[in-house]
Amino acid sequence: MSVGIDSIGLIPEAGGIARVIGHQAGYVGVVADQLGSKVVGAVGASTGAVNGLAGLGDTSADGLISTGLTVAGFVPGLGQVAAGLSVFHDVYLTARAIGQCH
Amino acid sequence: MPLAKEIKNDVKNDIKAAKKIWLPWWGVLCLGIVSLPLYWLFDHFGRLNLALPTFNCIAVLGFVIAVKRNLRRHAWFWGIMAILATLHVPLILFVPWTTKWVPALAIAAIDSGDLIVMLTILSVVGKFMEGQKTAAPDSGH
Repeated sequence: MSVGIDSIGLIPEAGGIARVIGHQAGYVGVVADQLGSKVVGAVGASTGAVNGLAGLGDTSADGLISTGLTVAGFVPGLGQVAAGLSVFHDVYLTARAIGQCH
Repeated sequence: MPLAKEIKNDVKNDIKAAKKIWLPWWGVLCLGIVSLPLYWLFDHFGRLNLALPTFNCIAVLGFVIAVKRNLRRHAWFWGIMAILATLHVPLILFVPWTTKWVPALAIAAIDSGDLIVMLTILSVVGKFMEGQKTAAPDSGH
């Protein structure tokens, strides 16, 4: 779940998944990219908002900081880097947990 | 307040330039693959909580250098970058970072705040250095 939410930041604005979403809606080329990018952005914003709202109940320092920053804007390229690092951090934690089970 | 306005415009333009920077998918993949053994290294020393803040700080410093690459020939720019990098060391070491999951979006917002502060510092110092250059008397060459 956390890997899925983190990886939203990795989706580029043009081509790839954004274009596929645009094609599904019956658009082609740049228009498909633009529509797909809007959908991806909306999903990212909504998951961010869900996380932010989930954090509202958390009155610890971490929770409050997380909630505050979720509603702040960010530079997309940095979001991409943060998402990449986070995903691989989660992958490492998962691999370590599986290793400990064995 | 023309100087304050100039600095504000500078920072706005820098943020605009920063928003246009995107890594290719293979760049993000390489970054992740390189980070995996480093996560293991941090974990080995029992400081996995410092791994993400360290990598994100390095990424933000890299971003600042990419945005302000037109200043790369100025010695003062590298001096300021060295000072900013040094200031990040106590920030990483002494803030009680969590090992719990924090959404990447929240990490990106912290990174963005850091980026904007650094761009503002560089803009202020840049204006100061420009002012010194124009105020300096001709050396007579």
